[in-house]
Amino acid sequence: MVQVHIHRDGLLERFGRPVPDGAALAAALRRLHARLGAGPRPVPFAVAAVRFDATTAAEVEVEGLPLEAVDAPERLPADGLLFTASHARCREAVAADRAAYLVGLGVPPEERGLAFTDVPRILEEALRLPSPRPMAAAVRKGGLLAIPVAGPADARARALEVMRVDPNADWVTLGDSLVLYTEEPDLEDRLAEEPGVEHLSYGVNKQSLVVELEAGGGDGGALLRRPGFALREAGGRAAGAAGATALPWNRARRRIFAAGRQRAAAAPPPPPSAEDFHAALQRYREPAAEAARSAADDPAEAMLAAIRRLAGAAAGADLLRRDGRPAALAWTAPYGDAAEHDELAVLVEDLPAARAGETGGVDGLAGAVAAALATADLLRGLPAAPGALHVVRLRPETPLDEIWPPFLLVDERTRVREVVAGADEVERRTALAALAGER
Amino acid sequence: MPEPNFEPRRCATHDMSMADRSRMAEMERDYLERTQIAEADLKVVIPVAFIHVVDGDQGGITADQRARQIEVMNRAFDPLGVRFNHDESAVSVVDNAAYFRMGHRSLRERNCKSQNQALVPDTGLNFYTAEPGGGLLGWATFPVELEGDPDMDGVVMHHGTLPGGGLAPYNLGATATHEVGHWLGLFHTFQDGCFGLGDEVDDTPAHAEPNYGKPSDGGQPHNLCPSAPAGSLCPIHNYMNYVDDDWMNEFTAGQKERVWAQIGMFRAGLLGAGDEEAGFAEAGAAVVW
Repeated sequence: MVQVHIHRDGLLERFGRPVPDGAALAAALRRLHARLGAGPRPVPFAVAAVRFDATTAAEVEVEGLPLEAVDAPERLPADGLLFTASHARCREAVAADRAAYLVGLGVPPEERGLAFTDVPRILEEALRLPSPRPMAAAVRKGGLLAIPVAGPADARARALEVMRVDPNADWVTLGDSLVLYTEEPDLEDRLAEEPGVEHLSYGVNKQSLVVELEAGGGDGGALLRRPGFALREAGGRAAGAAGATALPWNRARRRIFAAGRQRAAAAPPPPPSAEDFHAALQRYREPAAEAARSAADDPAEAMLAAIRRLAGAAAGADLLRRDGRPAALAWTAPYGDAAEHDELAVLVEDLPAARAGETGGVDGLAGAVAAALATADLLRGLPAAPGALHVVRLRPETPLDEIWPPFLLVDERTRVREVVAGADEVERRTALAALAGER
Repeated sequence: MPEPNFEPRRCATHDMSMADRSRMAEMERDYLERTQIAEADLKVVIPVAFIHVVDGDQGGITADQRARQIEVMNRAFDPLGVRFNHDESAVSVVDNAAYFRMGHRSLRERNCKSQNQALVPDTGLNFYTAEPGGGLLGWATFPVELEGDPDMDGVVMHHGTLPGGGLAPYNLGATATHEVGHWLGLFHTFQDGCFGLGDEVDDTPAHAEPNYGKPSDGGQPHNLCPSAPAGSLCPIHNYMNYVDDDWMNEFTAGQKERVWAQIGMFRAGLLGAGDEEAGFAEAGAAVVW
């Protein structure tokens, strides 16, 4: 019997909420388990979620998988497989001669890294079963639908529901529409029959899609138009409408774009202004500067302590080192006030420049940390995006007037992965690593 | 010519545990040592039955496409001593919207195959076409699965992958070559990545994950595993990788050895099933069982 364990913390749940790609993975493995058990010669494997904390009361299941609690990876079955987002747990498992993989962190496969969607293939290979040949992402096509949603929580719930059926699904929310991409024809047909759903395309490559913000032109060529937004295929029109900002799909995906200003009846609150930002900055500037001055010979460690004090213990602040030297400060924060909102990753990079006498210097580092804390505070008031990871990136030398307003708020998961992957292994912490892992 | 002494492991397949599957390479070596087949005798012609699952006018395949698909497979497998033929008069068409969208290992697939299998699977290849979702081009069953689950045996191909199909750059017929490679017992060249038994073939060095598109020869060694022997090249042109159709052009000697061990152990019924008229490239050596 091959026993597969999916690490709950970081892969299936984060901050107590389901991870969309984890939900898709769990569903895919449950389907695989059912299908392999349906034939005349069932394949002997079992799949479960696992948490490495056997001291507290156990939940029964997570994402439809039975949840097991064990002390450490070495307690897992010898012939099993562990999929985790924790470098430490992966290391422990490998040291105990268990097969283990790091999922969704952007870690190279030569170092046991896997994308979420590769897990079923790796499992099939371990079971010595054939796996199907897939198309490359560049040529895959799927259906595109616009589904009416009541708000961010509704959009997130619908997206999760879809991911549990189609692990290749993707989405962006434009105003009150969840724009959904799916490669499962049956799901596409079923959703298309729901009231209010628009079937935008039957066969589109999602990489060809762009979201235009503040589009000023007509409807020509748009697959979908909402106040303030247009969704179109990049090849379908030579250029976006006059004055429009075009975001390619991989920058727009999994974000919520609130309804445009034209929609007076339900206009969202205006974004924070530069004045709001500077007011918030004042709250953090002096404490940060004081912390930096108190330990000028090791400002990065001093700032880490300050961040933990100012941002709260739950922020999971890390000091990432590269080759033993401070490289980046990072922490996480909820994005938006409500529990269902998404995560914000804050990166203050280029710490080597933050030594006295160099560009930026200690004061620059303190300023960047204060600005990042202020930015994170303000972003809590904005609408969130289901499944998105928002990233604020600052450097000690970043002028304050370039920090606010936009586009600080971007889905730069790739950058988070780079920062995590580039850091010394001992300093990679689960909170940021897990954020980096979600596609 | 004396009859080759193949001893199929038919009964044992019922009890093939995961542990047994994991020592397949060892079993193959034992088997090949015991059978000692001369190189010139490694020839087989495999009958192919096309079963086209369509949804009305969607998914149809022409006779020309079938002929070209067989040509593509013959060109690829000829160096392994394996050829294919098909009887155009025996082509089946199944008009069923649900089966047309069958998923991998789904109930639809099982029902479709159970109801429409054209050849007794011991004796030939059931070649299904359909339009599965999920970005899948095709799949196959392994020889070791035949004995325990004969209804599912065969390959399922997206209809757009046959020569002249609509799924460029996957419309040159190489997906069928790849899947038939599985059907004859080959693993992916990237099987198990850098951490496991690999593809159990000595001359395909391990690489970490699939290659897609047209990886350049100048970019070697690509994603070769650190454990690969010095001087190895990533098998970016191997049919058992995931590169574009026009980038696939090789099987290795080790893969040939595995295919014949797998045929002997699990698909011995293919021997003698084919058409003696099918011509091998080395016509003088062509012996069809």
